[in-house]
Amino acid sequence: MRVKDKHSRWWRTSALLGAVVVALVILAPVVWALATSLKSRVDALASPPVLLANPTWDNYREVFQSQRFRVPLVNSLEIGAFSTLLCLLAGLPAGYAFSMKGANFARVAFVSLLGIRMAPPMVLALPIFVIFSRLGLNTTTLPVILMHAAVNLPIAVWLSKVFFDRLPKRLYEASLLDGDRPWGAFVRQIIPVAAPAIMAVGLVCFLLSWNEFFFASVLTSYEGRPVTVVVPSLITPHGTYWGVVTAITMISIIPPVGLAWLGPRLLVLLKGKDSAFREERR
Amino acid sequence: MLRIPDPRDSFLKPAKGLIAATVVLPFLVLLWLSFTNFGFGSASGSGSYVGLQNYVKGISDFQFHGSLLRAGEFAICATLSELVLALLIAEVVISGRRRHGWLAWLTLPAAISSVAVALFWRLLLHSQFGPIGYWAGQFGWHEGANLLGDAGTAFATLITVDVWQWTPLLALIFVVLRLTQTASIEDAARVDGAGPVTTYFTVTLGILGPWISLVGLLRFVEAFREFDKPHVLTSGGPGTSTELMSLYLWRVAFKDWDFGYAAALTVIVYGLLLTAVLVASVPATRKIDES
Repeated sequence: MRVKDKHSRWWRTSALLGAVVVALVILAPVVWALATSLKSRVDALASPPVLLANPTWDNYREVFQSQRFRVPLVNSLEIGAFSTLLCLLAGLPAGYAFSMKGANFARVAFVSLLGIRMAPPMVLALPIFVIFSRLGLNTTTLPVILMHAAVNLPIAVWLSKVFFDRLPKRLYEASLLDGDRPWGAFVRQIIPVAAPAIMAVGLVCFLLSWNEFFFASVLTSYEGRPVTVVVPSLITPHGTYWGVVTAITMISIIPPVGLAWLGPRLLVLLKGKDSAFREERR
Repeated sequence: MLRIPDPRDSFLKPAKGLIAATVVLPFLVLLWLSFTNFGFGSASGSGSYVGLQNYVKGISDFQFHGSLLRAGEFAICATLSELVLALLIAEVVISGRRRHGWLAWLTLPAAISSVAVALFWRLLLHSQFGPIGYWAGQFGWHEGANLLGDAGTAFATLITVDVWQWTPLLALIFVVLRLTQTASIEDAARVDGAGPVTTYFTVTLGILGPWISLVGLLRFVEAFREFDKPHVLTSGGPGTSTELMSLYLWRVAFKDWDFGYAAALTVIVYGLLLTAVLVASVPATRKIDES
């Protein structure tokens, strides 16, 4: 307390001003897009620009009624759901193995997984495009699902490892002594208490897939395009319906913004579980 | 039953299978493609073996060099601006009131997709009905259609958008590190009579140093392979002034359909990136382990 008081009044005031400026700069582009999505076609093209004169829901109505926006939304959900499922199926057990095997093994594995994560996407997109064209499967969403699973797997493994590091090892060992096979012990003893890890890994992988653009744009055909690919394609030199474009963009950022709001609350939930484990370990 | 295998190895099997099918196999195909003239663009793209021809061509391709340099310049400028600004914002947040509930909103620009970010800025920068673009035009800050259409300002604008997207998240990371790692030692330094500025530059930055280099390294790699924002904002233009490495590779592969050549360039880029990261990450991780 005493030490904190050393901040001068001048510094406190300018810090507050700085915080306000930062908040404004962060929010302004989002607010402007939100306002544009609520404008009529005429207002959206006003010059000099106005923030919001006559709000209308027309753009959102158009997005929800038109088939050409429903299909990409469903595609995004489908790609996100299946790639997340793959990440969970492969990532949770791998994270558990990392956690059990000690630091040296985990470091080697981490560096090699990082090598995957930081590869330019072209390293995978190019051969996958050729392979799936040869197989005749390039009109499905399968290549994108596999690629999102591949690049998000390192994150899934690492998050799971961090979670499992906090679990008491004897849960698994006791189950083995009871005569379970390794996978049986994992499924019966570990998975039931890993709900927070499954939730966190699942949400992160889903959002990364939901936001991903490069693989999605290169590896999908017209019918398989998710929202991130459709949105930029609506900007044309011949005229852009900015109201509709911003409306679908605002809808597409609901899941990530929801997580930004929910994230800290989820973390508190995880921490609550964590203290319960500490109790048991004692 | 001569040797009982470690049962934990079986837990790695699904991940190994997934990586073998989606990373290792495609990478081998990529290597093979890089030695062929495979492509869809012309009749010559038959897929026959051409030796090192693609690599030789890549080494003397000045458009490739230009895109690599631009990507490097973009990554360095963006990373440095973001680190400095984020440290500054973290300081502002720390010395403000102890109400950190709104901190979650610092994740907002990083949480939404790069495509949405690019779209927001394309709208803001529009020369007629975007507030920034309109007033920039009135004040005559650029030639051409808008800030993105002027070869002199497009690159800096692109960096600004990247700074908007990532600085808040870095600031949040630094706030958390400041609260958990440095706060108590700073207080000790203050009690010993060190002024706030001295404390910051000797104690705080000393402790944060390895973390700053790690965060900076990750950000550099991500920025070096940036594709989404320039693709949506400028498509590499005007001219090739914002054509970063990823955009050039994309153009060779998916506009010219010259897969063999694109594969060779990709292998070169990945090799450069891996070498740079391995060299840079060894000291960074060691320091964090020690602390």
